[in-house]
Amino acid sequence: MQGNVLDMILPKRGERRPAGLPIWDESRHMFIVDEHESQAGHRSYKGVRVTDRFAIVEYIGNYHNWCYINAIELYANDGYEYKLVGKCQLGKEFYDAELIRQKTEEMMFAYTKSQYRMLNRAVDEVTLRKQSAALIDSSYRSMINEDTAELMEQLTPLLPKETTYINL
Amino acid sequence: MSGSSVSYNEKHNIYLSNGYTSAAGNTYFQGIRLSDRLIVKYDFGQGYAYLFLNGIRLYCYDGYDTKLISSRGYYSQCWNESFARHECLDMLKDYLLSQTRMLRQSVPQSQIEDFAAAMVKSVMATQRPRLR
Repeated sequence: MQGNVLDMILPKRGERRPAGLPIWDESRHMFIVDEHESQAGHRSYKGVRVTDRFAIVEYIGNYHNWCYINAIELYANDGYEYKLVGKCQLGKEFYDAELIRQKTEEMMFAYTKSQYRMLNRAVDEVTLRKQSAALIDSSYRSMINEDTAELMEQLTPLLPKETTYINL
Repeated sequence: MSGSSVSYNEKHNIYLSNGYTSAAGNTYFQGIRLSDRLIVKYDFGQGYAYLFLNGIRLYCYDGYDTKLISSRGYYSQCWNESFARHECLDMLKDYLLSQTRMLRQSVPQSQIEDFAAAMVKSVMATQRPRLR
């Protein structure tokens, strides 16, 4: 069975991977979803980082040698579903992990600050920035550690429908 | 690399794409090695004196489609065959491990390592696979 599992995960050309099993890129701590290639040869996909509170979606494009980040979206969990609370559109920006982290921290800060204001509560911006950075940092975690394996069961249903995990 | 032409370098067992030369005189091109299960794509940058490795991407097959399974970028990394092989191995092991976790299958680490090593070896093997 174990040998069959590895053959299923990395099948030969012509054979299918397990249906609905999302791909996790440990190098960038994200799920790779919605991948497609245009007729011009541009390959694009979404990189998704999910926690139980929020999700970050990166719109990534590959062309020849270059990897671009086209947009970043921030979703917040309202208790029922993930709702879009921030979007950053980037034009012809080379993929830069530090830039993406900085932009998502800014979006998280802007969102949480706006929520404080609407609740008519005083906000300490310095503390809020640190908390925003800590929240974003929490999404950059390994999925192959033992302690996060159980989190997969909670998280995979939250991925976009085309990659919903089907329990084998 | 759809729509672009490639040449095959038999000595290094690698398909090379057309290059793009920047205004600064650096040439960027891609290299591909493939087997019946794994595709390794390298992003090269040829500078004045050195050949740089700018990135490695691994793809697996899903039917006749290819799926990106791992991607790493590098900065000022000179091309080194041994380094590239080690990186591919590392990326592939992480992919296999994460997939087994999601499938809730317990596979010994040693088996994953042996399988990954065999897959990387078959990609590097000096035989010319057929491209369709």
